[in-house]
Amino acid sequence: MSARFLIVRTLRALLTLILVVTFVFLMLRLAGDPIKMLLPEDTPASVVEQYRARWGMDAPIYVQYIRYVASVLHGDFGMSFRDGRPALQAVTERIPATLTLGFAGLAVALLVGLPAGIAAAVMRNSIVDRSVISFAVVGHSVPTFFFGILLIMLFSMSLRWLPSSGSATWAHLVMPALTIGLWNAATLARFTRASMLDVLSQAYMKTVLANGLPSSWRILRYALPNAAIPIVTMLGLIVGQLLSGAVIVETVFAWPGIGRLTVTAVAGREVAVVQTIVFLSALAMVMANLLVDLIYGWLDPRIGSKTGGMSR
Amino acid sequence: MSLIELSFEENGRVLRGIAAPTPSATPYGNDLLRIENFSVRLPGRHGPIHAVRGISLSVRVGECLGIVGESGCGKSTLCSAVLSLLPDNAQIEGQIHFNGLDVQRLSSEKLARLRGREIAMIFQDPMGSLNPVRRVGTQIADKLMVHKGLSRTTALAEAVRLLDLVRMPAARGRLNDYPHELSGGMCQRTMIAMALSCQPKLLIADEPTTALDVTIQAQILTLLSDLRRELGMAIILVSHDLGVIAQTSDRIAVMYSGEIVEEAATETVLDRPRHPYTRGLIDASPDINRVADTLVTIPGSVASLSEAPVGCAFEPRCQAAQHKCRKVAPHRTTTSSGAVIACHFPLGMSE
Repeated sequence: MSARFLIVRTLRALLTLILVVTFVFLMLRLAGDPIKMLLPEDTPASVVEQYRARWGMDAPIYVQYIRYVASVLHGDFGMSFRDGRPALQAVTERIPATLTLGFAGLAVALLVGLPAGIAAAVMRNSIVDRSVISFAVVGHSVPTFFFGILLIMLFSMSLRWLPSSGSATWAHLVMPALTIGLWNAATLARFTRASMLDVLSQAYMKTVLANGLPSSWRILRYALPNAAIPIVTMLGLIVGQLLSGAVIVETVFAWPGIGRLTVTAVAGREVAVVQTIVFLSALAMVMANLLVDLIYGWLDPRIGSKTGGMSR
Repeated sequence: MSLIELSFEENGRVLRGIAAPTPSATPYGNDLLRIENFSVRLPGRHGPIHAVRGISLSVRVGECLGIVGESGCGKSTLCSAVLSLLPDNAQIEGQIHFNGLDVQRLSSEKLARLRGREIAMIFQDPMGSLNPVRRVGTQIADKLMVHKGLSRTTALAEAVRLLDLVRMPAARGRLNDYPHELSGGMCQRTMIAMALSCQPKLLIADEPTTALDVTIQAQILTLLSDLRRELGMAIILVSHDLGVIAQTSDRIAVMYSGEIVEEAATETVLDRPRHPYTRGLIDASPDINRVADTLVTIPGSVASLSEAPVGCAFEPRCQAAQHKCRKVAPHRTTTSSGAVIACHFPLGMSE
């Protein structure tokens, strides 16, 4: 992997971030006047103007944009209308809970999805394969809120093994992590299976067979690294999404993460908080994908090398 | 210690340890590989494809057998069958014995040993046959580690020696290269080095030069011939190019539509072809010394492998075909000179 490749990818990530910031800024202004939405309809015009001046929304839009970008660069995302705290603080205090749930969910997705997908591809058309496909279809079509409620009914109400809401103990983590994890595992298993099947049909896999290498080498050392690129792409999206919080699952299990904050912030018309959440989510997504790009270069020597380029 | 000595010692051990010939192998005499009445049907979109039809063939120790035929005549299917590399849904009849072992009845463990140590195979597309994300040195070393129990360091050192053996330029520096950093010819040399790593008794080369430039093709063929002499291994060389086969083989088997229509010593086949198809192949080979306005072709196209012919499969394209050819499939007959032919009216008989 060349330094050029690294620099190009990092610059691209930065550009994405700038575009996102601009897009969010414009969207929030185009979607309607936040001041009018915040204030009751019969507020006198003078009061509206007063609020507008107070939040800096009386200036021309490009001035607002420059101010906004400048303050974002200073780490200032504005104030929460509600409690007058910095919006950034309101969001960051939710990050630990979101990370805990996100990584627990990711672990479940990886531990279930990867082996299931690999096994399905290796034992194509067997009962294992059919079970994995069924799991993937069902797992992805059952909505998370429904699956979450089923879990609550079984483990909290019938068996009384696990608490149904909150985040006080590790036991609280089990059900939301399973809900997120199994849903993503279904997608991951399908991707892994398709990617492995593609690789297993390649000519170089026949060479491995003809050389009499053990199946474990064949699958883990020869097939999986080749199949990894689409899988890693998928994982990048999953990770980015998990870091921005799980709106539905956090709501079902009353998990105090960014997802639930998003719901309350949107309902409460907290422009600054929503803006901060969108920015941080975009940052998470961009970082996850930058990481994916770097992993590509490490996984596939043809990517980013001087001679090979992206061609296969 | 030279590789030649090593290989004999190794062969002896292998004979005793793994491939110990059963008493029934004695009548095989010099035959290393014996294929008997072997048929393969592969499932196709429009019914089964009868890719190999009752082929009997043998390869002697140290011999180079050339198999020639047009694309789609079942050559590659036959090669894959020798290493039991056919898909699970292939229907197989007949037997393949290697060194007294029934290839199709081996346990997966013994099959892995057969594939790694006894029979090696190289393929048509050398670039696509190497794993794109593993260094070439590692790929050779992996095989040595598995089958010879070498440590990674020793295996890599041995890989350098093997790359030298196959005349890879700057062998040591190539170990850490990825396949995309090598040329097609260098990839095929790597494949050959990998194939030779455990001193196989038989090397199956399935169209080894088809994807390469003509100059590289000649180099690879010379290399294969040299290595055969140095190491005393047998080779099955498969090609659609009669020129390639003629240059390298002791004996030629001509395949048409899943069957062997003629089989004899190379000079016999080239000088006095008996089957009209062989004659056609020879005539269709462009002659560099002859300026021709049009190239000679065999009329018609390769018979479909899905439909079983009633008579001779080559009959629709054969200029010497007679009524009998349409009705009765010709049997294989062995001539006094030891050549095998499947034709009702072999060339040079009536004249």
